Amino acid sequence: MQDLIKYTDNINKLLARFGVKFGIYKNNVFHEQLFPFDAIPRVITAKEFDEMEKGLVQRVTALNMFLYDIYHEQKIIKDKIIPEEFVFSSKGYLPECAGVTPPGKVYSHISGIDLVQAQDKKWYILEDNLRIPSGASYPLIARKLCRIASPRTYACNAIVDNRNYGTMLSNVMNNVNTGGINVILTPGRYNAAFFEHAYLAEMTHSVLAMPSDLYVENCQVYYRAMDKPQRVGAIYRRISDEYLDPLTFLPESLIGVPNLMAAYRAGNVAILNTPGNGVADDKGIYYFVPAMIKYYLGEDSITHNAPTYLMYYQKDRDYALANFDKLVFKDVSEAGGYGVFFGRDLDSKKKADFIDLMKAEPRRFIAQEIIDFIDLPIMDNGQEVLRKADLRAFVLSGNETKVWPSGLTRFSRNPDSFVVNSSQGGGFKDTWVLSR
Amino acid sequence: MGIISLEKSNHLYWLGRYSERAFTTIRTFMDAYDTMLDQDPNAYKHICEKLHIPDVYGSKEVFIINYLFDETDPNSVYSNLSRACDNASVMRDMISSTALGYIQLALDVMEDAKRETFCLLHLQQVLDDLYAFWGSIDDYVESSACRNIMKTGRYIERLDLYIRLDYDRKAMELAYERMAYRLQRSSAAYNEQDFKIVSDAINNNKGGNLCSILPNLNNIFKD
Amino acid sequence: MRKLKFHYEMQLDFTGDVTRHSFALRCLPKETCTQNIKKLSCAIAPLSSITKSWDAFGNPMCFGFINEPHDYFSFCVSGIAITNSENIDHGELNHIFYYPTPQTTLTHGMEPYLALAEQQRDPMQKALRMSDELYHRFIYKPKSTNTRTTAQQALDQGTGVCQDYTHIMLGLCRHLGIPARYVAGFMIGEGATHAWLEVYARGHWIGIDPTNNRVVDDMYVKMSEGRDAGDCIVDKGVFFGNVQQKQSVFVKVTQEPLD
Repeated sequence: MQDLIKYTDNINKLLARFGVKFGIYKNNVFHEQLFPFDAIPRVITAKEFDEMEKGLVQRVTALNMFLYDIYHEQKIIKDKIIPEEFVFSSKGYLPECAGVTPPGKVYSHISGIDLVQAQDKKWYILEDNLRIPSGASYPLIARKLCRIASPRTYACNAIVDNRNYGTMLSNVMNNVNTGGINVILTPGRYNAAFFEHAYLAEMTHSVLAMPSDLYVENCQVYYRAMDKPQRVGAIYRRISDEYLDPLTFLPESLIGVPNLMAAYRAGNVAILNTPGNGVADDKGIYYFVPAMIKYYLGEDSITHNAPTYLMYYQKDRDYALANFDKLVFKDVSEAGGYGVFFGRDLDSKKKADFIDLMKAEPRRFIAQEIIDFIDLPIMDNGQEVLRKADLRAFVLSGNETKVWPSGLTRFSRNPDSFVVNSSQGGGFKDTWVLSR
Repeated sequence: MGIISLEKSNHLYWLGRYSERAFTTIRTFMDAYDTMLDQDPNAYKHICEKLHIPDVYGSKEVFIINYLFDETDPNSVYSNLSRACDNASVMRDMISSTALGYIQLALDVMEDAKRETFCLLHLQQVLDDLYAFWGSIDDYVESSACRNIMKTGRYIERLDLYIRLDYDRKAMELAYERMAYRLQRSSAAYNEQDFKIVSDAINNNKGGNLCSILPNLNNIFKD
Repeated sequence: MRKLKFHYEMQLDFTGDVTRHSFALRCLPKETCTQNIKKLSCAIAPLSSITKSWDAFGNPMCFGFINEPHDYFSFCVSGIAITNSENIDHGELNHIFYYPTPQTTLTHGMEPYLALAEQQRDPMQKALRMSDELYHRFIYKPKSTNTRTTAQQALDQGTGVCQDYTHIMLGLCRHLGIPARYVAGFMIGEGATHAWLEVYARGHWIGIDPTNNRVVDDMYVKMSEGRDAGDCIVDKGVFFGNVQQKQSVFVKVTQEPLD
């Protein structure tokens, strides 16, 4: 491993050469920046991964069943496992999707589940991302380049090869394809994750499509190819629900495909991930995932949620008020590390204001115990230092659900920061799953 | 994947044009630089004139830095190369990360050259990367339509620059033949009348200035 | 029971050519237990391939795509509706209709209505009482609002059209926990399309027209229903072309003798 670390700069240069970047908007101007790579990997043993995989497969299976149920009979509401307002007033719930059954009943084809490991070595789920989780491309290309930089490392460490992500992903697309080509739909060059869109198109041998490359006629989706239009059978879209179809959702969307939803409802195209998944990865619904697993699968949850309190329930709210300073509060409608703050950081005025808001809109907030996660070593100017880090595991659902034996490990740049979101600075590591 | 949309064919065409523009203007620059060393300090003025770009430089020293590196100058080598890079990065799925990497490398060398003390060796490195780019295109791009569109762009640009820079007849004919060969195999729709005017002018070229056909040349490919 | 003959025309004129025109229309009357649609015809121009389907609320839709340049777009819908307000719509209640949407959320200014509603025990009576009050307080004023005006904005300014009356009523009903939905359609007479709401009470849906302060009967023809006006937009379209557009609409509903 020392050998690999020695080549950190070379690896970062190779990453730059292949355009491994992510974009950010600063004062409304688009910038692309390199995503700094730290060569010290996160290592997960075979036994640990086995356990994690079982838990994640169970979780994603239940979440897919939940989505089917919510857009059909809504049994879980009728059986009073989940209060209906958590579904109907969720921004992610799309009535336009009610009654539509996607091919193979798969809703979340690519799930990005964020985990952290606590001091007791137990993994906790931070959040489920069932809409358009990004990040798999980074460890994917990094591994390829690390193997060039330091072949020896890979000869003697029994590391499970993760370079099959493209094949796994194209199998997932083929599994639901309704007849036609596979496309990856990107909002365009100036999207934060454009590198990933283009790279995954290359790795899956799909066509990278800009919104204006696609059109819908007779409820069929076509790719505007130079010679003759090509029918599209599956769209791995990297555009969020509200922009997907200006004739169904936001009319001002310029990056959508008009009448795409009509084609989807008619069963003529598969959309990955399915529109309307936001109802299941809401921070409020997170609370109910263990109950969901029990309800649909009759099993106890293998994965662990961080201890969470729902401000909607009086009992939970009382607890949160009594233990305000030791909890972290999250606004369920925010994402990307925003709307998260620690009780102990608020002064008395802000605290009083927040408590009023929380009482007025109890559905909007959850509180969680602060988990003392294991920090990971990174190299900082030749010194090994510890930083907060999380892991995004990618769970792919095709004809069966599998966990990619790798994942995106992100770390915070700032030693005091708990936020590891790449849009707020920080870097990434490769995640090794060992075969022993 | 050989399926190309109209928008993508434009990106391919302009990727070919901008990378060739960077390539040929670097070579032109190197010649002028050499002349300016000990023969004619104003040699750069001729280049501006011939390329029909405004002489915003004022002196050879400013020209040397700004014509190469000024990102705010739309005619600089850097600007052309970064446009090539922009077009390449949206075509990653077709041209491969490997080929894209060479354009990025060329741009990175320009960045380094700008920061460090510039020397012609940097430019040599850029030319090498561009050669490697075209070599990798032949190996990594599966779709022949895709390769042909890029090369159509490449040779239209080359012919355009050769005409402006008064290259000899033979060089122009060669650029033209390559362009015609690629264009007809690209399966792209093109303006036949403009193509005919260009081909007549090249075939009947008695050595006069051909700048009058530039509008037709630039109109051949329908973008 | 009545026999209503309806004729509905919409024309969009563009100041220049547009291309790649995709559209989604909710312009066809709906078949329900209170209305039976016969002799339905729908002509869309310029000629294009049309797909008919239903949206998630069961509203009939026409989808289409016109690639070629054109400078106008029109449809003409006509037919016969046999309406019968004695039939009762026992349709299943979609619980989404309990919840306000951004366009129907009211946060203030509801006091006079809520005070009146409080005097009633029956949800239907509450709704009717509020509708009556709204009819008297709110001023019908064309062009004082637009299709995106929210219930709160309309309530604050005190003027609006049928869409605004309906949105305010939806906001009030949902605030009181009474499920309610938006309805777009026609009313007997000549002019434009109309909007009203349906309230779910005692196991069935009942229409209330706050703009005219009356209970919906067999003089109305229903096209579509949804959470708010956004779910019932008659003509949605996107196209390429930098043009201005002018819309003209003509609706005529006449009664004919029953066979």
